[in-house]
Amino acid sequence: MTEKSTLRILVVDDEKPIRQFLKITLSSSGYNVFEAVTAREALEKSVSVHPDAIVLDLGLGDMDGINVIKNIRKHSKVPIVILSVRENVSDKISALDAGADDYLTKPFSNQELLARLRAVVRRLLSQDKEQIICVGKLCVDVTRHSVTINSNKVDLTPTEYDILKLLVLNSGKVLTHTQILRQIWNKSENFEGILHLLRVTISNLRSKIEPNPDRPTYILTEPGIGYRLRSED
Amino acid sequence: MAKKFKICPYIISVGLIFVTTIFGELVKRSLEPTNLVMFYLFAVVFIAIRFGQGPAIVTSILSVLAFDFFLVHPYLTLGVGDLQYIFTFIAFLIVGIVVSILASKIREQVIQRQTEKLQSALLNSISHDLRTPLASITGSLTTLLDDSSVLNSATSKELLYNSLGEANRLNDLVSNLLDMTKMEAGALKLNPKPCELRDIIGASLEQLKDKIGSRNINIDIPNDFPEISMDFSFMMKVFCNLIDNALKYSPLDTPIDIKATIVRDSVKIEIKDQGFGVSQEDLKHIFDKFYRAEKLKNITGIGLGLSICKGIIEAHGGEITAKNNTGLGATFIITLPLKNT
Repeated sequence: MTEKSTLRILVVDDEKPIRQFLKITLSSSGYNVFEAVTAREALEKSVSVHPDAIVLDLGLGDMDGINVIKNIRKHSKVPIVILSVRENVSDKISALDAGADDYLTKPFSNQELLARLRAVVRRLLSQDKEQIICVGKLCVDVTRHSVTINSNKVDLTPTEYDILKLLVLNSGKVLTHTQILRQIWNKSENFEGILHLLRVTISNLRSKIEPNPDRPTYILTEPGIGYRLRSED
Repeated sequence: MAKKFKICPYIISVGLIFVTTIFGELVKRSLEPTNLVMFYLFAVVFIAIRFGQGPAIVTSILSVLAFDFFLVHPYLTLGVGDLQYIFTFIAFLIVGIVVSILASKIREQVIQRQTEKLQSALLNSISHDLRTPLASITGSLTTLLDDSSVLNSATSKELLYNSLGEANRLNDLVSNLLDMTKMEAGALKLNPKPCELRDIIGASLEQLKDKIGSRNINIDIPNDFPEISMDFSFMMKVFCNLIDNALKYSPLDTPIDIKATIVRDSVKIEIKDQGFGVSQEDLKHIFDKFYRAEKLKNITGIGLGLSICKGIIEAHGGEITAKNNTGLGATFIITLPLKNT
Protein backbone atom coordinates (compact mmCIF):
# COMPACT_ATOMS: atom_id res chain seq x y z
CA MET A 1 0.00 0.00 0.00
CA THR A 2 1.35 3.39 -0.99
CA GLU A 3 1.06 6.84 0.57
CA LYS A 4 -1.82 9.12 -0.43
CA SER A 5 0.28 11.24 -2.78
CA THR A 6 0.92 8.24 -4.98
CA LEU A 7 -2.30 6.27 -4.51
CA ARG A 8 -3.08 4.45 -7.73
CA ILE A 9 -6.60 4.50 -9.10
CA LEU A 10 -7.67 2.35 -12.02
CA VAL A 11 -10.54 3.97 -13.97
CA VAL A 12 -12.51 1.46 -16.05
CA ASP A 13 -15.02 2.96 -18.48
CA ASP A 14 -15.64 2.41 -22.19
CA GLU A 15 -16.63 6.07 -22.62
CA LYS A 16 -13.56 8.14 -23.48
CA PRO A 17 -15.01 11.50 -22.25
CA ILE A 18 -15.70 9.98 -18.81
CA ARG A 19 -12.17 8.56 -18.54
CA GLN A 20 -10.75 11.85 -19.73
CA PHE A 21 -12.39 14.05 -17.09
CA LEU A 22 -11.93 11.45 -14.32
CA LYS A 23 -8.22 11.30 -15.11
CA ILE A 24 -7.91 15.09 -14.80
CA THR A 25 -10.14 15.30 -11.70
CA LEU A 26 -8.45 12.47 -9.82
CA SER A 27 -4.95 13.56 -10.88
CA SER A 28 -5.58 17.09 -9.62
CA SER A 29 -6.58 15.52 -6.27
CA GLY A 30 -3.20 13.81 -6.06
CA TYR A 31 -4.01 10.33 -7.35
CA ASN A 32 -2.01 8.43 -9.93
CA VAL A 33 -4.61 7.42 -12.55
CA PHE A 34 -4.55 4.39 -14.86
CA GLU A 35 -7.18 3.70 -17.49
CA ALA A 36 -8.87 0.59 -18.89
CA VAL A 37 -11.43 0.57 -21.71
CA THR A 38 -12.59 -3.05 -21.67
CA ALA A 39 -13.29 -5.65 -19.00
CA ARG A 40 -10.35 -7.72 -20.22
CA GLU A 41 -8.01 -4.77 -19.89
CA ALA A 42 -9.47 -4.02 -16.43
CA LEU A 43 -8.76 -7.57 -15.24
CA GLU A 44 -5.21 -7.44 -16.61
CA LYS A 45 -4.47 -4.04 -15.05
CA SER A 46 -6.07 -4.99 -11.71
CA VAL A 47 -3.09 -7.37 -11.45
CA SER A 48 -0.31 -5.53 -13.31
CA VAL A 49 -0.93 -1.99 -12.01
CA HIS A 50 -1.64 -2.96 -8.36
CA PRO A 51 -4.29 -0.24 -7.97
CA ASP A 52 -5.23 1.02 -4.48
CA ALA A 53 -8.82 1.44 -5.71
CA ILE A 54 -10.81 0.77 -8.87
CA VAL A 55 -13.54 3.02 -10.30
CA LEU A 56 -15.63 0.72 -12.46
CA ASP A 57 -18.43 1.26 -14.98
CA LEU A 58 -20.88 -1.66 -15.15
CA GLY A 59 -21.77 -1.42 -18.85
CA LEU A 60 -18.60 -2.55 -20.57
CA GLY A 61 -18.66 -3.88 -24.12
CA ASP A 62 -17.02 -7.26 -23.61
CA MET A 63 -18.26 -8.37 -20.15
CA ASP A 64 -20.82 -7.16 -17.64
CA GLY A 65 -19.32 -5.18 -14.76
CA ILE A 66 -20.78 -7.59 -12.17
CA ASN A 67 -18.64 -10.38 -13.61
CA VAL A 68 -15.62 -8.06 -13.59
CA ILE A 69 -16.14 -7.50 -9.83
CA LYS A 70 -16.47 -11.25 -9.21
CA ASN A 71 -13.29 -11.95 -11.19
CA ILE A 72 -11.30 -9.28 -9.34
CA ARG A 73 -12.58 -10.55 -5.98
CA LYS A 74 -11.10 -13.99 -6.73
CA HIS A 75 -7.62 -12.58 -6.16
CA SER A 76 -7.89 -9.11 -4.63
CA LYS A 77 -9.55 -7.07 -1.89
CA VAL A 78 -8.88 -3.81 -3.72
CA PRO A 79 -11.74 -1.35 -3.04
CA ILE A 80 -14.11 -1.05 -6.01
CA VAL A 81 -16.39 1.97 -6.47
CA ILE A 82 -19.05 1.54 -9.14
CA LEU A 83 -19.95 4.44 -11.43
CA SER A 84 -22.98 3.49 -13.47
CA VAL A 85 -26.08 4.87 -15.18
CA ARG A 86 -28.03 1.90 -13.81
CA GLU A 87 -30.08 3.27 -10.95
CA ASN A 88 -32.29 0.31 -10.06
CA VAL A 89 -31.98 -0.92 -6.48
CA SER A 90 -31.55 -4.47 -7.83
CA ASP A 91 -28.50 -3.42 -9.88
CA LYS A 92 -26.92 -1.75 -6.83
CA ILE A 93 -27.57 -4.82 -4.65
CA SER A 94 -26.09 -7.15 -7.30
CA ALA A 95 -22.93 -5.05 -7.54
CA LEU A 96 -22.50 -4.71 -3.77
CA ASP A 97 -23.23 -8.39 -3.17
CA ALA A 98 -20.69 -9.30 -5.86
CA GLY A 99 -18.08 -7.44 -3.81
CA ALA A 100 -18.19 -3.77 -4.81
CA ASP A 101 -17.51 -1.34 -1.96
CA ASP A 102 -19.64 1.55 -3.10
CA TYR A 103 -22.00 2.64 -5.85
CA LEU A 104 -22.55 6.03 -7.46
CA THR A 105 -25.08 6.75 -10.19
CA LYS A 106 -24.10 8.85 -13.22
CA PRO A 107 -24.24 11.82 -13.34
CA PHE A 108 -22.52 12.18 -9.97
CA SER A 109 -20.86 14.90 -7.93
CA ASN A 110 -17.05 14.95 -8.15
CA GLN A 111 -16.84 15.77 -4.45
CA GLU A 112 -18.96 12.75 -3.59
CA LEU A 113 -16.78 10.46 -5.70
CA LEU A 114 -13.64 11.82 -4.05
CA ALA A 115 -15.18 11.41 -0.57
CA ARG A 116 -16.21 7.82 -1.28
CA LEU A 117 -12.76 7.03 -2.67
CA ARG A 118 -11.12 8.52 0.43
CA ALA A 119 -13.41 6.40 2.62
CA VAL A 120 -12.75 3.09 0.88
CA VAL A 121 -9.01 3.68 0.70
CA ARG A 122 -8.81 4.78 4.36
CA ARG A 123 -10.66 1.65 5.42
CA LEU A 124 -8.18 -0.51 3.60
CA LEU A 125 -5.20 1.42 5.03
CA SER A 126 -6.51 1.22 8.61
CA GLN A 127 -7.65 -2.41 8.52
CA ASP A 128 -4.32 -3.90 9.57
CA LYS A 129 -3.20 -1.41 12.17
CA GLU A 130 -6.11 0.11 14.10
CA GLN A 131 -7.71 -1.78 16.93
CA ILE A 132 -9.74 1.20 18.14
CA ILE A 133 -11.84 2.67 15.35
CA CYS A 134 -13.47 6.06 15.91
CA VAL A 135 -16.12 7.76 13.80
CA GLY A 136 -17.03 11.15 15.24
CA LYS A 137 -17.60 10.63 18.96
CA LEU A 138 -18.28 6.92 18.51
CA CYS A 139 -15.30 4.63 19.27
CA VAL A 140 -15.22 0.85 18.98
CA ASP A 141 -12.33 -1.07 20.57
CA VAL A 142 -12.26 -4.26 18.54
CA THR A 143 -9.88 -6.16 20.86
CA ARG A 144 -11.71 -5.30 24.10
CA HIS A 145 -15.21 -5.51 22.61
CA SER A 146 -16.09 -2.13 24.07
CA VAL A 147 -18.01 0.81 22.62
CA THR A 148 -17.96 4.40 23.84
CA ILE A 149 -19.81 7.57 22.89
CA ASN A 150 -18.22 10.81 24.16
CA SER A 151 -15.93 8.51 26.18
CA ASN A 152 -18.96 7.05 28.00
CA LYS A 153 -19.28 3.28 27.81
CA VAL A 154 -22.32 1.96 25.93
CA ASP A 155 -23.81 -1.42 26.86
CA LEU A 156 -24.71 -3.46 23.80
CA THR A 157 -26.09 -6.97 23.39
CA PRO A 158 -23.71 -9.39 21.60
CA THR A 159 -25.74 -9.12 18.34
CA GLU A 160 -25.86 -5.33 18.51
CA TYR A 161 -22.10 -5.28 19.06
CA ASP A 162 -21.47 -7.67 16.14
CA ILE A 163 -23.53 -5.53 13.78
CA LEU A 164 -21.85 -2.31 14.94
CA LYS A 165 -18.41 -3.91 14.60
CA LEU A 166 -19.26 -5.05 11.07
CA LEU A 167 -20.44 -1.55 10.15
CA VAL A 168 -17.43 0.13 11.77
CA LEU A 169 -14.93 -2.15 10.03
CA ASN A 170 -16.63 -1.18 6.77
CA SER A 171 -17.32 2.45 7.61
CA GLY A 172 -18.37 4.43 4.55
CA LYS A 173 -19.24 1.27 2.66
CA VAL A 174 -22.81 0.22 1.94
CA LEU A 175 -23.54 -3.21 3.41
CA THR A 176 -26.54 -4.90 1.83
CA HIS A 177 -29.16 -6.66 3.96
CA THR A 178 -27.91 -9.95 2.49
CA GLN A 179 -24.32 -9.25 3.51
CA ILE A 180 -25.27 -8.32 7.10
CA LEU A 181 -27.66 -11.26 7.54
CA ARG A 182 -25.07 -13.68 6.18
CA GLN A 183 -22.32 -12.35 8.46
CA ILE A 184 -24.35 -12.03 11.67
CA TRP A 185 -26.94 -14.82 11.55
CA ASN A 186 -25.69 -16.90 8.59
CA LYS A 187 -29.17 -16.62 7.08
CA SER A 188 -30.54 -15.32 3.77
CA GLU A 189 -33.17 -12.60 3.34
CA ASN A 190 -35.76 -15.29 2.60
CA PHE A 191 -35.57 -16.63 6.17
CA GLU A 192 -38.89 -15.64 7.69
CA GLY A 193 -38.76 -12.67 10.06
CA ILE A 194 -34.99 -12.21 9.77
CA LEU A 195 -35.21 -8.84 8.00
CA HIS A 196 -37.57 -7.61 10.72
CA LEU A 197 -35.11 -8.79 13.36
CA LEU A 198 -32.33 -6.84 11.63
CA ARG A 199 -34.45 -3.67 11.56
CA VAL A 200 -35.31 -4.03 15.26
CA THR A 201 -31.66 -4.60 16.18
CA ILE A 202 -30.56 -1.56 14.13
CA SER A 203 -33.30 0.50 15.80
CA ASN A 204 -32.10 -0.61 19.29
CA LEU A 205 -28.50 0.12 18.31
CA ARG A 206 -29.47 3.59 17.13
CA SER A 207 -31.32 4.30 20.37
CA LYS A 208 -28.05 3.55 22.22
CA ILE A 209 -25.50 5.39 20.06
CA GLU A 210 -27.35 8.10 18.11
CA PRO A 211 -27.83 11.55 19.67
CA ASN A 212 -31.27 11.57 18.01
CA PRO A 213 -32.33 8.03 16.95
CA ASP A 214 -35.10 9.43 14.70
CA ARG A 215 -32.53 11.30 12.62
CA PRO A 216 -29.54 8.98 12.68
CA THR A 217 -26.11 10.42 11.91
CA TYR A 218 -23.98 7.30 12.41
CA ILE A 219 -25.94 4.35 11.02
CA LEU A 220 -27.43 5.59 7.75
CA THR A 221 -30.14 3.71 5.86
CA GLU A 222 -29.64 3.04 2.14
CA PRO A 223 -33.31 2.61 1.15
CA GLY A 224 -34.09 -0.86 -0.14
CA ILE A 225 -30.41 -1.85 -0.07
CA GLY A 226 -28.98 -1.93 3.46
CA TYR A 227 -26.99 0.25 5.88
CA ARG A 228 -23.83 2.31 5.91
CA LEU A 229 -21.85 3.67 8.84
CA ARG A 230 -20.97 7.30 8.25
CA SER A 231 -17.30 7.60 7.37
CA GLU A 232 -14.97 10.04 9.12
CA ASP A 233 -14.51 12.82 6.59
CA MET B 1 -58.33 2.51 -33.06
CA ALA B 2 -60.37 -0.33 -34.61
CA LYS B 3 -58.47 -3.59 -35.03
CA LYS B 4 -57.83 -4.66 -38.61
CA PHE B 5 -59.85 -7.74 -39.51
CA LYS B 6 -57.69 -10.69 -40.56
CA ILE B 7 -59.23 -13.56 -42.50
CA CYS B 8 -56.26 -15.93 -42.15
CA PRO B 9 -57.04 -17.19 -38.58
CA TYR B 10 -60.60 -18.08 -39.68
CA ILE B 11 -59.31 -20.03 -42.69
CA ILE B 12 -56.88 -21.91 -40.41
CA SER B 13 -59.79 -22.53 -38.02
CA VAL B 14 -61.91 -24.10 -40.81
CA GLY B 15 -58.90 -26.16 -41.92
CA LEU B 16 -58.31 -27.44 -38.41
CA ILE B 17 -61.99 -28.41 -38.01
CA PHE B 18 -61.75 -30.23 -41.34
CA VAL B 19 -58.66 -32.21 -40.23
CA THR B 20 -60.26 -32.97 -36.83
CA THR B 21 -63.42 -34.21 -38.54
CA ILE B 22 -61.45 -36.49 -40.91
CA PHE B 23 -59.64 -37.87 -37.87
CA GLY B 24 -63.01 -38.31 -36.11
CA GLU B 25 -64.37 -40.21 -39.14
CA LEU B 26 -61.39 -42.58 -38.96
CA VAL B 27 -61.74 -43.40 -35.29
CA LYS B 28 -65.50 -42.99 -34.72
CA ARG B 29 -66.04 -46.78 -34.73
CA SER B 30 -63.62 -47.32 -31.87
CA LEU B 31 -64.43 -44.20 -29.78
CA GLU B 32 -67.59 -42.91 -28.16
CA PRO B 33 -68.87 -39.71 -29.85
CA THR B 34 -68.63 -37.86 -26.51
CA ASN B 35 -64.89 -38.65 -26.44
CA LEU B 36 -64.47 -37.41 -30.01
CA VAL B 37 -65.61 -33.99 -28.77
CA MET B 38 -62.30 -33.68 -26.91
CA PHE B 39 -60.37 -33.47 -30.20
CA TYR B 40 -62.43 -30.45 -31.19
CA LEU B 41 -61.62 -28.90 -27.81
CA PHE B 42 -57.90 -29.19 -28.61
CA ALA B 43 -58.57 -27.29 -31.84
CA VAL B 44 -60.41 -24.55 -29.91
CA VAL B 45 -57.56 -24.19 -27.37
CA PHE B 46 -54.94 -24.05 -30.16
CA ILE B 47 -56.83 -21.37 -32.10
CA ALA B 48 -57.51 -19.36 -28.89
CA ILE B 49 -53.82 -19.33 -27.88
CA ARG B 50 -52.57 -18.61 -31.39
CA PHE B 51 -55.17 -16.14 -32.70
CA GLY B 52 -57.31 -14.92 -29.81
CA GLN B 53 -60.94 -14.81 -28.85
CA GLY B 54 -62.85 -14.15 -32.13
CA PRO B 55 -61.43 -17.03 -34.18
CA ALA B 56 -61.69 -19.33 -31.12
CA ILE B 57 -65.42 -18.67 -30.67
CA VAL B 58 -65.98 -19.30 -34.39
CA THR B 59 -63.99 -22.55 -33.99
CA SER B 60 -66.24 -23.58 -31.05
CA ILE B 61 -69.42 -23.04 -33.11
CA LEU B 62 -67.98 -24.79 -36.19
CA SER B 63 -66.86 -27.69 -33.97
CA VAL B 64 -70.41 -28.25 -32.67
CA LEU B 65 -71.84 -28.09 -36.20
CA ALA B 66 -69.18 -30.43 -37.71
CA PHE B 67 -69.44 -32.85 -34.79
CA ASP B 68 -73.22 -33.02 -35.13
CA PHE B 69 -73.22 -33.22 -38.95
CA PHE B 70 -70.51 -35.85 -39.42
CA LEU B 71 -70.05 -37.78 -36.20
CA VAL B 72 -73.47 -37.96 -34.49
CA HIS B 73 -76.21 -40.29 -35.69
CA PRO B 74 -78.16 -39.61 -37.97
CA TYR B 75 -75.09 -38.67 -40.07
CA LEU B 76 -74.97 -35.84 -42.63
CA THR B 77 -77.89 -33.98 -41.01
CA LEU B 78 -77.97 -31.39 -38.23
CA GLY B 79 -80.66 -33.40 -36.40
CA VAL B 80 -79.87 -35.58 -33.38
CA GLY B 81 -81.14 -39.09 -32.67
CA ASP B 82 -80.50 -38.89 -28.97
CA LEU B 83 -81.58 -35.79 -27.03
CA GLN B 84 -78.66 -36.13 -24.61
CA TYR B 85 -76.39 -34.79 -27.40
CA ILE B 86 -78.14 -31.44 -27.07
CA PHE B 87 -76.59 -31.18 -23.56
CA THR B 88 -73.20 -32.27 -24.98
CA PHE B 89 -73.42 -29.50 -27.60
CA ILE B 90 -74.42 -26.85 -25.08
CA ALA B 91 -71.71 -27.96 -22.61
CA PHE B 92 -69.10 -27.98 -25.42
CA LEU B 93 -70.14 -24.55 -26.58
CA ILE B 94 -69.91 -23.12 -23.05
CA VAL B 95 -66.54 -24.79 -22.36
CA GLY B 96 -65.27 -23.71 -25.79
CA ILE B 97 -66.27 -20.07 -25.25
CA VAL B 98 -64.85 -19.97 -21.70
CA VAL B 99 -61.58 -21.54 -22.91
CA SER B 100 -61.48 -19.01 -25.78
CA ILE B 101 -61.88 -16.08 -23.41
CA LEU B 102 -59.34 -17.38 -20.87
CA ALA B 103 -56.74 -18.36 -23.47
CA SER B 104 -57.05 -15.06 -25.31
CA LYS B 105 -56.68 -13.18 -22.01
CA ILE B 106 -53.44 -15.07 -21.31
CA ARG B 107 -52.31 -14.23 -24.83
CA GLU B 108 -53.02 -10.52 -24.28
CA GLN B 109 -51.11 -10.60 -20.98
CA VAL B 110 -48.10 -12.21 -22.67
CA ILE B 111 -48.15 -9.57 -25.42
CA GLN B 112 -48.49 -6.80 -22.81
CA ARG B 113 -45.56 -8.18 -20.81
CA GLN B 114 -43.40 -8.34 -23.95
CA THR B 115 -44.34 -4.73 -24.78
CA GLU B 116 -43.49 -3.60 -21.24
CA LYS B 117 -40.16 -5.41 -21.43
CA LEU B 118 -39.37 -3.73 -24.75
CA GLN B 119 -40.37 -0.31 -23.42
CA SER B 120 -38.21 -0.80 -20.34
CA ALA B 121 -35.21 -1.86 -22.48
CA LEU B 122 -35.82 1.20 -24.64
CA LEU B 123 -35.97 3.53 -21.64
CA ASN B 124 -32.77 2.02 -20.22
CA SER B 125 -31.03 2.54 -23.52
CA ILE B 126 -32.17 6.18 -23.81
CA SER B 127 -31.41 6.80 -20.14
CA HIS B 128 -27.86 5.46 -20.64
CA ASP B 129 -27.26 7.67 -23.66
CA LEU B 130 -28.60 10.76 -21.89
CA ARG B 131 -26.85 10.25 -18.56
CA THR B 132 -23.39 9.34 -19.84
CA PRO B 133 -22.72 12.63 -21.67
CA LEU B 134 -24.40 14.52 -18.82
CA ALA B 135 -21.99 12.89 -16.36
CA SER B 136 -19.02 13.98 -18.49
CA ILE B 137 -20.33 17.53 -18.85
CA THR B 138 -21.16 18.06 -15.15
CA GLY B 139 -17.94 16.34 -14.07
CA SER B 140 -15.73 18.37 -16.42
CA LEU B 141 -17.39 21.67 -15.52
CA THR B 142 -17.23 20.95 -11.78
CA THR B 143 -13.52 20.19 -12.05
CA LEU B 144 -13.01 23.44 -13.98
CA LEU B 145 -14.84 25.38 -11.27
CA ASP B 146 -13.37 23.61 -8.22
CA ASP B 147 -9.78 22.99 -9.32
CA SER B 148 -9.13 25.97 -11.60
CA SER B 149 -6.08 26.96 -9.54
CA VAL B 150 -4.29 23.64 -10.11
CA LEU B 151 -5.21 23.14 -13.78
CA ASN B 152 -2.98 24.46 -16.54
CA SER B 153 -4.58 26.04 -19.60
CA ALA B 154 -4.11 22.96 -21.82
CA THR B 155 -5.92 20.75 -19.28
CA SER B 156 -8.69 23.32 -18.85
CA LYS B 157 -9.13 23.44 -22.62
CA GLU B 158 -9.26 19.63 -22.74
CA LEU B 159 -12.11 19.68 -20.20
CA LEU B 160 -13.95 22.38 -22.17
CA TYR B 161 -13.63 20.43 -25.45
CA ASN B 162 -14.77 17.32 -23.61
CA SER B 163 -17.91 19.16 -22.44
CA LEU B 164 -18.54 20.63 -25.90
CA GLY B 165 -18.20 17.23 -27.58
CA GLU B 166 -20.59 15.65 -25.11
CA ALA B 167 -23.08 18.53 -25.44
CA ASN B 168 -23.03 17.97 -29.23
CA ARG B 169 -23.59 14.27 -28.64
CA LEU B 170 -26.63 15.08 -26.47
CA ASN B 171 -27.89 17.44 -29.18
CA ASP B 172 -27.58 14.68 -31.82
CA LEU B 173 -29.40 12.24 -29.57
CA VAL B 174 -32.26 14.62 -28.81
CA SER B 175 -32.69 15.62 -32.47
CA ASN B 176 -32.64 11.94 -33.51
CA LEU B 177 -35.32 11.15 -30.94
CA LEU B 178 -37.41 14.10 -32.15
CA ASP B 179 -37.02 13.06 -35.81
CA MET B 180 -38.04 9.52 -34.95
CA THR B 181 -41.09 10.74 -33.01
CA LYS B 182 -42.10 12.97 -35.94
CA MET B 183 -41.63 10.09 -38.38
CA GLU B 184 -43.78 7.76 -36.30
CA ALA B 185 -46.50 10.38 -35.96
CA GLY B 186 -46.42 10.88 -39.75
CA ALA B 187 -45.43 14.50 -39.15
CA LEU B 188 -42.24 14.44 -41.21
CA LYS B 189 -42.77 17.26 -43.72
CA LEU B 190 -40.39 17.21 -46.66
CA ASN B 191 -39.63 20.29 -48.66
CA PRO B 192 -38.17 18.78 -51.84
CA LYS B 193 -36.44 21.03 -54.35
CA PRO B 194 -34.10 20.16 -57.24
CA CYS B 195 -30.63 19.91 -55.67
CA GLU B 196 -27.12 19.11 -56.78
CA LEU B 197 -26.03 15.89 -55.08
CA ARG B 198 -22.51 17.28 -54.93
CA ASP B 199 -23.76 20.25 -52.83
CA ILE B 200 -25.48 18.04 -50.25
CA ILE B 201 -22.47 15.76 -49.91
CA GLY B 202 -20.16 18.78 -49.70
CA ALA B 203 -22.28 20.34 -46.92
CA SER B 204 -22.34 17.01 -45.04
CA LEU B 205 -18.55 16.69 -45.24
CA GLU B 206 -18.19 20.26 -44.01
CA GLN B 207 -20.37 19.43 -40.98
CA LEU B 208 -18.27 16.35 -40.25
CA LYS B 209 -14.89 18.02 -40.86
CA ASP B 210 -13.70 17.60 -37.24
CA LYS B 211 -14.47 13.89 -37.30
CA ILE B 212 -12.99 13.44 -40.79
CA GLY B 213 -9.69 15.09 -39.90
CA SER B 214 -7.10 13.71 -42.32
CA ARG B 215 -9.24 10.75 -43.46
CA ASN B 216 -9.38 10.20 -47.20
CA ILE B 217 -12.86 10.61 -48.73
CA ASN B 218 -13.09 9.82 -52.47
CA ILE B 219 -16.08 11.30 -54.30
CA ASP B 220 -17.05 10.00 -57.71
CA ILE B 221 -20.01 11.94 -59.17
CA PRO B 222 -20.10 12.52 -62.96
CA ASN B 223 -19.95 16.18 -64.01
CA ASP B 224 -23.22 15.94 -65.97
CA PHE B 225 -25.08 14.36 -63.04
CA PRO B 226 -28.70 15.62 -63.06
CA GLU B 227 -30.30 17.58 -60.23
CA ILE B 228 -32.46 15.44 -57.95
CA SER B 229 -35.62 16.49 -56.14
CA MET B 230 -34.67 16.25 -52.45
CA ASP B 231 -35.18 17.94 -49.10
CA PHE B 232 -31.71 19.42 -48.63
CA SER B 233 -31.56 19.38 -44.81
CA PHE B 234 -33.08 15.89 -44.37
CA MET B 235 -30.86 14.38 -47.06
CA MET B 236 -27.88 16.07 -45.42
CA LYS B 237 -28.85 14.26 -42.24
CA VAL B 238 -28.83 10.95 -44.16
CA PHE B 239 -25.36 11.55 -45.63
CA CYS B 240 -23.98 12.80 -42.30
CA ASN B 241 -25.26 9.65 -40.58
CA LEU B 242 -23.90 7.29 -43.23
CA ILE B 243 -20.50 8.99 -43.55
CA ASP B 244 -20.21 9.27 -39.74
CA ASN B 245 -20.94 5.53 -39.45
CA ALA B 246 -18.35 4.74 -42.12
CA LEU B 247 -15.80 6.84 -40.19
CA LYS B 248 -16.65 5.19 -36.85
CA TYR B 249 -16.64 1.63 -38.12
CA SER B 250 -13.44 1.61 -40.20
CA PRO B 251 -9.72 2.04 -39.40
CA LEU B 252 -8.24 5.55 -39.57
CA ASP B 253 -5.91 4.74 -42.47
CA THR B 254 -8.63 3.47 -44.83
CA PRO B 255 -10.55 5.64 -47.33
CA ILE B 256 -14.30 6.10 -47.69
CA ASP B 257 -15.70 6.06 -51.22
CA ILE B 258 -18.86 7.89 -52.28
CA LYS B 259 -20.07 7.11 -55.78
CA ALA B 260 -23.21 8.15 -57.68
CA THR B 261 -24.53 6.61 -60.90
CA ILE B 262 -27.73 6.64 -62.96
CA VAL B 263 -29.40 3.27 -63.25
CA ARG B 264 -32.38 3.45 -65.65
CA ASP B 265 -34.84 5.92 -64.04
CA SER B 266 -33.10 5.97 -60.63
CA VAL B 267 -30.10 7.49 -58.96
CA LYS B 268 -27.83 5.08 -57.12
CA ILE B 269 -25.55 6.48 -54.42
CA GLU B 270 -23.04 4.19 -52.71
CA ILE B 271 -21.12 4.92 -49.50
CA LYS B 272 -18.40 2.34 -49.10
CA ASP B 273 -15.95 1.80 -46.25
CA GLN B 274 -13.13 -0.67 -45.67
CA GLY B 275 -14.00 -1.37 -42.06
CA PHE B 276 -15.26 -4.26 -39.95
CA GLY B 277 -18.25 -5.07 -42.17
CA VAL B 278 -21.62 -6.19 -40.83
CA SER B 279 -22.50 -9.70 -39.63
CA GLN B 280 -25.27 -11.55 -41.49
CA GLU B 281 -27.49 -11.34 -38.38
CA ASP B 282 -26.89 -7.59 -38.02
CA LEU B 283 -27.61 -7.02 -41.74
CA LYS B 284 -31.18 -8.28 -41.17
CA HIS B 285 -31.88 -5.72 -38.42
CA ILE B 286 -29.50 -2.88 -39.18
CA PHE B 287 -32.29 -0.45 -40.13
CA ASP B 288 -34.48 -1.40 -37.12
CA LYS B 289 -35.09 1.18 -34.42
CA PHE B 290 -32.67 1.01 -31.46
CA TYR B 291 -30.78 -1.91 -33.00
CA ARG B 292 -27.04 -1.91 -32.33
CA ALA B 293 -24.56 -4.33 -33.80
CA GLU B 294 -23.50 -6.68 -30.99
CA LYS B 295 -19.73 -6.50 -31.46
CA LEU B 296 -19.75 -2.69 -31.74
CA LYS B 297 -21.47 -1.87 -28.45
CA ASN B 298 -18.40 0.06 -27.28
CA ILE B 299 -18.89 2.61 -30.06
CA THR B 300 -21.30 5.32 -28.90
CA GLY B 301 -24.77 5.58 -30.39
CA ILE B 302 -28.33 4.70 -29.60
CA GLY B 303 -29.25 2.80 -32.76
CA LEU B 304 -31.55 5.39 -34.32
CA GLY B 305 -29.36 6.85 -37.07
CA LEU B 306 -29.95 4.21 -39.73
CA SER B 307 -33.66 3.85 -39.05
CA ILE B 308 -34.00 7.62 -39.45
CA CYS B 309 -32.05 7.41 -42.73
CA LYS B 310 -34.44 4.71 -43.91
CA GLY B 311 -37.47 6.82 -42.95
CA ILE B 312 -36.13 9.87 -44.81
CA ILE B 313 -35.16 7.91 -47.93
CA GLU B 314 -38.55 6.16 -48.04
CA ALA B 315 -40.29 9.52 -47.64
CA HIS B 316 -38.43 10.52 -50.83
CA GLY B 317 -39.84 7.44 -52.57
CA GLY B 318 -36.48 5.67 -52.55
CA GLU B 319 -34.87 2.81 -50.69
CA ILE B 320 -31.71 2.13 -48.71
CA THR B 321 -29.90 -1.18 -48.38
CA ALA B 322 -26.66 -2.44 -46.88
CA LYS B 323 -24.29 -5.17 -48.00
CA ASN B 324 -20.84 -6.46 -47.17
CA ASN B 325 -18.11 -5.82 -49.72
CA THR B 326 -16.31 -8.71 -51.35
CA GLY B 327 -13.15 -7.52 -49.64
CA LEU B 328 -13.25 -5.47 -46.45
CA GLY B 329 -16.06 -3.33 -45.07
CA ALA B 330 -19.64 -2.55 -45.98
CA THR B 331 -21.50 -0.47 -48.56
CA PHE B 332 -24.73 1.44 -47.99
CA ILE B 333 -26.72 1.95 -51.17
CA ILE B 334 -29.35 4.65 -51.61
CA THR B 335 -31.67 4.49 -54.59
CA LEU B 336 -33.78 7.54 -55.38
CA PRO B 337 -36.27 7.96 -58.24
CA LEU B 338 -35.38 10.48 -60.96
CA LYS B 339 -39.02 10.93 -61.98
CA ASN B 340 -39.79 13.77 -59.52
CA THR B 341 -36.94 15.84 -60.85
